[in-house]
Amino acid sequence: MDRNIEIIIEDQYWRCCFFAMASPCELLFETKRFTEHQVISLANIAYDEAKRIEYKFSRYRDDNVIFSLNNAAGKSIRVDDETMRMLAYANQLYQLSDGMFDITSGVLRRVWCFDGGDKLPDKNAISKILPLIGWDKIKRNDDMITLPQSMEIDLGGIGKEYAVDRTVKLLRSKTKESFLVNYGGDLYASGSRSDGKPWRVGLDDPANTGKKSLVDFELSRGGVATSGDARRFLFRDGVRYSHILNPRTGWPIKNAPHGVTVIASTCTEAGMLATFSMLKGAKAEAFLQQQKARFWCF
Amino acid sequence: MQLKDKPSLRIALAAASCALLADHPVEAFESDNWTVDFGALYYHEKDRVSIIEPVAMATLRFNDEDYVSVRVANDTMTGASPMGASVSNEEQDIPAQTSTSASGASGNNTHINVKPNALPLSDFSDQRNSIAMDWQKAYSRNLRVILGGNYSTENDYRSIGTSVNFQRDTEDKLTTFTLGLSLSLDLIGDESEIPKPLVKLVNRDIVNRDDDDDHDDDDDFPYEKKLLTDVIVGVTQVVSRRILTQLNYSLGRSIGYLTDPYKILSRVNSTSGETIDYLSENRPDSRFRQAIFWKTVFHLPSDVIHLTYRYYWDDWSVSAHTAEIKYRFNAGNHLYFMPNFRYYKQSGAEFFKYSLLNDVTLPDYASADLRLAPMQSTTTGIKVGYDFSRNITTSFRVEYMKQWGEKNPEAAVGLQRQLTLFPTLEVMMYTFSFSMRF
Repeated sequence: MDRNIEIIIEDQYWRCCFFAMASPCELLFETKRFTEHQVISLANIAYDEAKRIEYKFSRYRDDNVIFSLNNAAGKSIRVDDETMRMLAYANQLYQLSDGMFDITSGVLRRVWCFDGGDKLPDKNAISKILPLIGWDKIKRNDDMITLPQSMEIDLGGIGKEYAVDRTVKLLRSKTKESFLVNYGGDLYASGSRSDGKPWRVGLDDPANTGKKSLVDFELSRGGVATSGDARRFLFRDGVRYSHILNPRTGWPIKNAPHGVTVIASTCTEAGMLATFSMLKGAKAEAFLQQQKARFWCF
Repeated sequence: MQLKDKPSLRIALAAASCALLADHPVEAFESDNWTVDFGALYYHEKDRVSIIEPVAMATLRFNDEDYVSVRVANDTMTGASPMGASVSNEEQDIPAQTSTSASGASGNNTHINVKPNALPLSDFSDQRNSIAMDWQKAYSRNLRVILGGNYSTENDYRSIGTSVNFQRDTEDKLTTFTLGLSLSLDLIGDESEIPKPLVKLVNRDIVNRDDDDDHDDDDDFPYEKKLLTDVIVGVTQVVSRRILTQLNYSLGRSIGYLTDPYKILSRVNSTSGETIDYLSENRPDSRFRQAIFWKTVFHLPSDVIHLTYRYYWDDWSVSAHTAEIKYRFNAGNHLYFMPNFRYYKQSGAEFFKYSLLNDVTLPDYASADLRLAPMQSTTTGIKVGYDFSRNITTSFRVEYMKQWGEKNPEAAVGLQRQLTLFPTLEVMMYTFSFSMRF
């Protein structure tokens, strides 16, 4: 089989590792509760689902629905049910964020390069791109989607959390025992461990100083997502520009936290709370407190 | 522009993500419920027996642990197998029993002509059909039970059997204990007549059991019976991430008619070794068998090594060692090669005789069946497998087996010393298999 999955047995856990969606992915199963045979079977399911979502929604491929949509040159494209639901979800987020979360804003990557340096783009370049942004410009009816010429959609902000929740759903249909799914820091724990204790999750320093486990917390059941900039920022004249961009102005949100980690009932929900809070800039922490979320801000 | 700050945002988000994750069977991979396997074996002994065996098996999985499987196989066996009469330096005319054939017709060949220095063989052709079913049910996280049943039939041999197997895991799931029990009843006889033990065969003068005066009334049952009971206990242990090992001990008892009704022995002159006449064989009516089996699997980063060793011994004085090594080379993501080598060594049954001596009292039990003789064999083979996808795999295996006996048995008398009493047997086996999950 062409699955590149590494399965390691640690003291109390089976740890299954693979690479998908440009992130290190892992699954944890307690050895008390799962046999090697079961673990292999479940890891295969998770791998297949992660890869399926990666291939289907990645903007780097030239053979999927996203490519068809982004290169339709104004033509209407028929999409499948799952894609429709993703776009309906993106629409909900656009509405709930008053337009601040906009999956058409990916085109800004053509002018912004967040490499930790200090090169800011030319104002003209940005104003040329702005007309290509705007979720309200996308037409949706039944199963047909129409993007105006040169516009693009980018599902990078929702894909990984969705993959975690989908994987959890598939694994839950195969086993009643609890497990943990972690795709590049977006994770979900499906229930307490066998001795009733919660899982221990450590957060790495989002500033990527290499310091491990800035915070340790316990999680019995729920999703965790992190929105952080790590190296993806620019620093100039004493101002830090995060990679979260305002789709209306084309400029980064000022004074957003370096990183936000949120716990919610699903990974998707956690991911959105984290992203929304970053869009609030300096008000991120206040926003999360108001939403009564469990979170950490850095 | 403000993000909606009320806590209802969270509820709305939760609702939105629920809608996103709403199940739609089209997107998910269907769970693999059915597995279908097809296979075919072609077994060919040089100058002797050929067997073609197609097999089909279907397995239905209910969930992680429970399944039901059915397996059917058909064997078409043709060729010639050793009669038990020994090699002679002269031409032989051996009285044949009714030859066994699927049509059940009585053979007109009352004698089989054998050239000098050739191992006497008799032709046969037979069909065997078998069906087996297994049902596994998990009673708890750590306990599984497998119930099995099987039935097979050939021209004059029928077998029906059942088995139950318990598997219990330890809490850490690294150890599994197995206990298995099986019972089998074989019925022999039907178209052909069963000879009395160690009687001289003259033409077709086979003394039919019905002619016997002191024949019991309840032997109206026309078949000979054989009952087999077996018990196996075993342990499988995950030693580490890379090593799995297994140890089994089994014991079994066969009682009933254990003789081969088609096999005979030559009676020879004790000094010269010349063949005088032929007798039917006779084996004890019980056999108590034991075996220990050890297996270890090493998972290397890319390849896998399988090592097995088995020691068998029984109360017929047969003891045997089997050692095998298989090495799986994974070549890329779809293809693998698995060469294998097996060595087998067996000591002979205490009543095994190459032939009977005419000036020695007739023993109670005697058989010249070379499968009970001291012998060794080596099998060398290679298997090539290809995974088309996650659900479809196929493989092809070729094996060469060479089997030989004692070169200069002590029991050889006279002219037998110049003859090869146990000719070397060479066998080629080709096995094809195909498996599909959906």
